[in-house]
Amino acid sequence: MKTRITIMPRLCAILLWFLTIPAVHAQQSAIHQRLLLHVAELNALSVSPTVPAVEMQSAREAISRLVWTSNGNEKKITVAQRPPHTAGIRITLRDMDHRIAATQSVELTGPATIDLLYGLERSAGSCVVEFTVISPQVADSPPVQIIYTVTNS
Amino acid sequence: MRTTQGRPFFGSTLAAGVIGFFFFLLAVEAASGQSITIQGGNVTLSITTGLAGSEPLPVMNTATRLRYRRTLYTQKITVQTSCPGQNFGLTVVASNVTAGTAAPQVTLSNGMPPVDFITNIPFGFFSNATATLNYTATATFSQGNSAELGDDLHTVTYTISAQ
Amino acid sequence: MMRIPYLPTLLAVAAVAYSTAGAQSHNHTVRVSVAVITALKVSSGTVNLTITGAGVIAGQDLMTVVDQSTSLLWGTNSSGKKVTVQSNLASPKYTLKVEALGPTQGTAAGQVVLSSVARDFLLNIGRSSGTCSIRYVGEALASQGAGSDAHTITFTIANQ
Repeated sequence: MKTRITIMPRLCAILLWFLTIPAVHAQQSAIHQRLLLHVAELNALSVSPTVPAVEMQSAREAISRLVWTSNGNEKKITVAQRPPHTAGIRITLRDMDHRIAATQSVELTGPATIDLLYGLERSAGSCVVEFTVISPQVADSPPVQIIYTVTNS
Repeated sequence: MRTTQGRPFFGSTLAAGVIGFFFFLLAVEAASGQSITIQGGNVTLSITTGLAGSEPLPVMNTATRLRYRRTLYTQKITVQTSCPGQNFGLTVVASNVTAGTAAPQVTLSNGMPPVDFITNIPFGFFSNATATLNYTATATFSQGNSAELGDDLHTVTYTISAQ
Repeated sequence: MMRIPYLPTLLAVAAVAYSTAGAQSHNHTVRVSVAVITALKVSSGTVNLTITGAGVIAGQDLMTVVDQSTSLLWGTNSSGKKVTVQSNLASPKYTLKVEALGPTQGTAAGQVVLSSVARDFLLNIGRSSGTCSIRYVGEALASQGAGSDAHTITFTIANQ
């Protein structure tokens, strides 16, 4: 009987503690939210101005600024003219703001797509693009559309 | 009406005695008996859960009952409370009323005047009636908690009287 | 011998005695106890942030995406409380920032970069029920390439 007297208060306390736990834990003081931040392979190109005028009778040159960003691997920029024009156009890159420090020059003379820039993976950069007409052109011919494309090397 | 001896009953000494004794019992019972009692003892209401963007969930208790005696005249029951330093909400309404009409839910607040709880308790000889006490405790988040403010301890008084 | 004229007297006496019994009362104690309650909820358990072409500006290394589609709802009846925020990712690949916008109670702690260390999200929200918008800003550098971070964001009501 003495044992019972000493144990009962402890049992009651333990029971009370167990009864209290659910009330305490029923309260949610923290909440979770799952967030997935996904970054796709992204490539962006911009040319400004978009319509440079090539003065056929004078300097025969025009200038644009080409800027790009790519987070992909082994990317390059190609260039082509559409529609293929009879006039040949030389494209020269200078003032390169990128780790590709080389100045490059390519000639567009037909429908072929030509590599303009290599090694621009996972980076942003810019350069100045110079256009020069390298062959005679028929007067009043339609404008030449230069197409830049970021693609895999 | 006549007795077996042919004398009028209401004119007899026996009739006077019977009627007198009846009213004597009535008077004694009325003067000495408890006309209203609360059955079920004291009540504890514990608010433990709440909804985010809303408020803590109210808690209801229907464990206690009011037992009251009908008399020769129409009566009513009022309710009032004393709860110094009240922080939380408490309401009461009668249900399962066997005699009389339950008043709308009463908000119990400290120092309130007596408010009708059950009205129009009809005439009845020595008969008891009952009603369930429905207590509802409410609290808002802005009203705080008992750990910081202490429990509300209401002394709720029910009074039966002539209507 | 008692006769009928005494009956009205008896009735009157009994009625007086009965009516003078007066109003009777009974009382009991009702205790109202309110536990410490905290509640948190987000309007959606999942957020998808995807940096697409719209978040890329040619020539810029930094690419961003913003999401403000979810909100946080809370309730607490304790004083001196704040809400903190943290991620399960100690070293995410990309930068994720979070900010409370337009809290109905309390003060927004401003934009913080999420990490595995709890940072203040809302301050002084004690004893209130309220809501705010959650604004996430995901940032990636072109040099970080493509990929994804799966965060489990935890909002917590904590002592201030």
